[in-house]
Amino acid sequence: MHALSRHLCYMLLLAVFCLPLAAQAQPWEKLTPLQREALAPLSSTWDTLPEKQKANFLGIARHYPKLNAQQRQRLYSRMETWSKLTPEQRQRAREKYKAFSKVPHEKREAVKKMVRVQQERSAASGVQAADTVR
Amino acid sequence: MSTREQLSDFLADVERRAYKHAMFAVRDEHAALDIVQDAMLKLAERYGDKPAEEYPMLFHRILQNTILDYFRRQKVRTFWQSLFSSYTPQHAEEEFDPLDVLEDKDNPSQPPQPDTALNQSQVLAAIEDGLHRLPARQREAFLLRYWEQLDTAEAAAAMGCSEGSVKTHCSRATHALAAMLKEKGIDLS
Amino acid sequence: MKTRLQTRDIGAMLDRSAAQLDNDTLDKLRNARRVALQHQRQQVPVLAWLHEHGLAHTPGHKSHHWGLAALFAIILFSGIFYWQHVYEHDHSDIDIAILTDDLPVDMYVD
Repeated sequence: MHALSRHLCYMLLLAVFCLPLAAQAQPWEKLTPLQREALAPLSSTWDTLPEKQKANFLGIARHYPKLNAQQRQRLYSRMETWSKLTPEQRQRAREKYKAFSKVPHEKREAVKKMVRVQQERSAASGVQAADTVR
Repeated sequence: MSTREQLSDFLADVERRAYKHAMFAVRDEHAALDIVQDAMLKLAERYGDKPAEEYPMLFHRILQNTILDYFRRQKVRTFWQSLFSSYTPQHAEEEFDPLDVLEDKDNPSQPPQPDTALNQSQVLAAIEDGLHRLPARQREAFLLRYWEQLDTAEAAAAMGCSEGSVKTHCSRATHALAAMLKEKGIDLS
Repeated sequence: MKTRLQTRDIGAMLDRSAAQLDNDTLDKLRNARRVALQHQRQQVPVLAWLHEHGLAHTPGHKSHHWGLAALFAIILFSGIFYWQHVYEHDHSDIDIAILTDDLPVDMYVD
C-alpha cells in the first residue's frame, strides 16, 4: 500500500515535470542550425533565458528565412533588448505597436523622422550610456 | 564582516547622496526616490556578491543608467501622450532631450550681487542650482570626483568612459560652475 | 567682498545639504535599503528543502502520509503553475514586426 502510493507519487511528479520540459526544453545545442543562425546574438545567454522567452524567440526564429538583409540586421540589434523584457512589457509593447499602426500614414512618418533626428543628435553629442552595467 | 553587513554599510552611507544625485538630474522627489530604490535593488540583486570595494563603481554606474532609463521612459510617455492628442511635428522638434548639452542662454541670470559676502545657505543654493544646470555627463564626473571622492580610474569605470574623458568632463564642469557662480558673486577656485 | 569658494569645499557643502533631508525622505531611503538587502544575491536551497521533507521516511507512520500528501499537492500545483506560465500565446507575427520596424524597440517599452 505504502509502496504503491509512493510509486504513484514518483510517477505523477515525473509526468508533471516532463510535460513542460518536453514541450519547451531547448538548450542551445538542441536547436537546428537555422534556429541558431536566427538567434545568433543570443547564443551566449540562451541557456539562461526563462522558458517563456525561449518559446517566444523560437516563434520569432521561424520568420527569419523570410527577412531581407536590413530586417535581419535590425532583428539582431534589437534581440538582446527584447530578451530582457518581462512578459508584461512585451505585451504592452505589442499593444503600443498595434495602436501605432492605426495612426495615419503621414503622422507615422513624421514620428519616425523625429526619432531619427533625436538619435542623430544623441550620436553626435558623443554620449554613450554605460549599458553593460544596468 | 559578512557581505550583507558590508552592503548594508555601503548603502547606508551612500543613500542620501544618491538621492541628491538623482534630484540634480530629474528635479522630481518622487522620481528620485524611485530611481534610488531601483538602483539599490539592482546592486543588491545583481552584484550583491561582489567585493565591497567594487560597490561604489557599480552603484554609481547603475544609478546613472537608471536615471537615463527614467528620461527615456519620460520621453516615450510624452511621445505616446502627444501622439493621441493634437500632435504636430513642430512640437516634436522642441521636445526636451536631456542628453543634449544644456546651455542655459535663455535663462536670465540674477544681477550680480553687491559686494557683500553670501551666507552659507545662499552659497549652497547657488552651487546646487549650478549643478542642476550642468550637462549630465559633466555633472556626473564632477560629483563622482569631488563628492563621492572616487579617483579618475574608479570614476571612469563608473561612467563607462576613459580616464581622459573623465578629466575633460570634470574640468568643463568646474569651468561652467565657476562661470555660473561668478554671476552670483561667488569666486570659485 | 566677494565670497570665495574652493572646489574641494563643495563636497563638504553638499554633505551638509544631504544631512538636511527631511525625515519622510530619510524613512523612504531607509526602507529602500532594507528591501534591497532582502534581495541580496544568494543561492536558493530548494533541493535542501526537498530532501528535508522528502521521501526517505519509514513507511507506516501517519505523519509520513500527511507529509507525502502535502508534498504531492505542492509538486502537482507547482507543475500546473509552471506549465501555465511557460506557455505564452504565439505572438511571433507582431513581434517580428516590432523587431524589424523602422522605430527602435525602446519606443514601445515603458
